[in-house]
Amino acid sequence: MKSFGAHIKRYVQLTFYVFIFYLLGWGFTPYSELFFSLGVGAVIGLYNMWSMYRDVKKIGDAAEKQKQAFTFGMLPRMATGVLAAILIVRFPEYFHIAGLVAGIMTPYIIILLHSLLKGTSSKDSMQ
Amino acid sequence: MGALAAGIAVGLAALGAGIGNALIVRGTIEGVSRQPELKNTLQTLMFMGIGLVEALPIIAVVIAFIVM
Repeated sequence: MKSFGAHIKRYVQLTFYVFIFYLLGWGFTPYSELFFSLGVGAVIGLYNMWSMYRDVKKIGDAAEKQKQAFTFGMLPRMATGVLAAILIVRFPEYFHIAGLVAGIMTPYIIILLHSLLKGTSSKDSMQ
Repeated sequence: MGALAAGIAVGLAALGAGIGNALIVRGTIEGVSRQPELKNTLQTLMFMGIGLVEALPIIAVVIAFIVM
């Protein structure tokens, strides 16, 4: 069974691969607005993933040491949604709404697909 | 009315995410307290669960602020 940090590294790695795909789409296809939005969204999504990693680690460590952890830090992640909305409203000529939202969701989709395809099987959990 | 709609959308999404997160965190904390050796597995599962739970409210926030 891989450690928690190894899983997160894998997710970040996969997100960077997708981000490079977005950059290539921005540079070499006529849909530059869409791919630019996807790329910016992916960066925001990476921040969300890092924030989640930090909070999950904090909660896990607190539970292991029988200590208290008071906040789960959901507000900053919601605030990234507000940031995306501000970007779309302020700069509609640069951003594509569906692209930006899909970009923010990129790490979440990767987590979902990774958990469905490779996931933590019961065999792994027992080791 | 747009602001009211945005408020309701964000509020309900945050409520759902809060309940979902609370259930996931409770399960993880109970599991880690009982079996600290499973911390890595449970943290990974918690991360996946929270990722799935929090995706929807973030979309809701974006849409609500655009509607407003």
